[in-house]
Amino acid sequence: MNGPWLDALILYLIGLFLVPNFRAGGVPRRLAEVIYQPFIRLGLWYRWSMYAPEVPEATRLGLTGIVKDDGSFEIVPLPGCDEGAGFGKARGLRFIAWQWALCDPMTDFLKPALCDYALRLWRRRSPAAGRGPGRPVAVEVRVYRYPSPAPGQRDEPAEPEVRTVFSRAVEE
Amino acid sequence: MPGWWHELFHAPVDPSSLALFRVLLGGLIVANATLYARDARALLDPDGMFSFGAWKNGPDRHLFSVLRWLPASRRSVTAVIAVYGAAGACLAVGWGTRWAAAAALLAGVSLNHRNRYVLHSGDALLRVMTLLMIFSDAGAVWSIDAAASRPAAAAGSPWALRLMQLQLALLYLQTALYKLKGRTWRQGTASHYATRLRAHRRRRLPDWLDGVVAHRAATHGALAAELAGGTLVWFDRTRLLAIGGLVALHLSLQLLMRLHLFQWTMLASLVLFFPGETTARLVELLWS
Repeated sequence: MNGPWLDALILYLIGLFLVPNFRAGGVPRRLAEVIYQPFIRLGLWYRWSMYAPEVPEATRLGLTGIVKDDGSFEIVPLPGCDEGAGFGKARGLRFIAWQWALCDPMTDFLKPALCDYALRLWRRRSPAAGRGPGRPVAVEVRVYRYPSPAPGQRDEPAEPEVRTVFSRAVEE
Repeated sequence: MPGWWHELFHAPVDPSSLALFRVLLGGLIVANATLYARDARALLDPDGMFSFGAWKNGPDRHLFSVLRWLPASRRSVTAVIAVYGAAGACLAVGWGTRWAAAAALLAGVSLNHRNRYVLHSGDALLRVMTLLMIFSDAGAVWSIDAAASRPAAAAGSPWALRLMQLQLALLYLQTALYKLKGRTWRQGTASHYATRLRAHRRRRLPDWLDGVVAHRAATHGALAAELAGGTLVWFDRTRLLAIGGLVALHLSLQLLMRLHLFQWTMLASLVLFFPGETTARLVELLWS
């Protein structure tokens, strides 16, 4: 490919890199999304942000099974996760944006999917545990938030604030 | 098109930096495939975090992945990981370079889209660079392709290399501008909080580096390095300074935080800004 066709391809690719990085909306944005549809499907339409404007707080997710007698147990760590770090360290210590994914309404399917996965794992580990008083009646996705000390202050061990972001009853 | 356009995108350049980046990119893809293989059961398998059924009908259903058309089995996942790793190895040695890049792109995208909730910006950069690698002359030197084609091909148009450089500069500039919107980055406390993220912390900072002044220097230094990565890196007189700042930034982050292959991906990409002649001389020095 040479001459004007090559220049047109270069301009097209420059647009692919630039457009997602602008906050333009409306018709121009929708038009660009049509023009670049094949690249969007390939995951090449990308807005660069190597770190959020505000550093996220130290959080982790936990999956907790609630059992019949009002007790509970943690279904962590999952495979590939270190104790205490939950999902945050899965995939070879790869960064996992669970805490963001769970805040995004587009990813609502994640929460029940995680609960199903946790239950599958739990049953795989202890096949006999699906019956009796220890049987889970619900699974909760919880966020553990660890407060950071102010700059200049010493780190002290602190209890996390725990918030349940999703709860699902276990079907019989 | 104006003269500067022709000079930037079409005037031939020494392809050595591009070839070195090809080797590094291939190595990164092999490493990424190895890590994928290790965690495939939890993250990619039909029995993993997302069943194939939920995934195929979920919000990512419009994203490309060959796994959609393959049987829902562990064997399919393993096959795609194997293709990804093999394509990375071919890219590193420059054997069928363009085809290897195309295979690496399709396999990598397929794995990424099977579970995109475990990705980071380094994955996106790998995808973009692999796409541009298909169009580049990265196999022109230090490759099996070059050894097999005699006489050696003349240096071609460097437009793909220029687009890689543009993308990298845009990445740093956009990131720095985005961070500047945040209070902690402007105040100079962002690194204090970042080094306390439990999921990513590799080691604690020594006390003498954990004070307010040191964190202010680190936070504003990171911003300055990223701004330089988008601007000063284009000028001969300031390029070395900009690259030096970015190397220091990524190495210190690698030392302190666990962020998968992100820092290595960024460090490898910085090679693209070296003049080809300099890279050729450095590699010759190292080999001799």
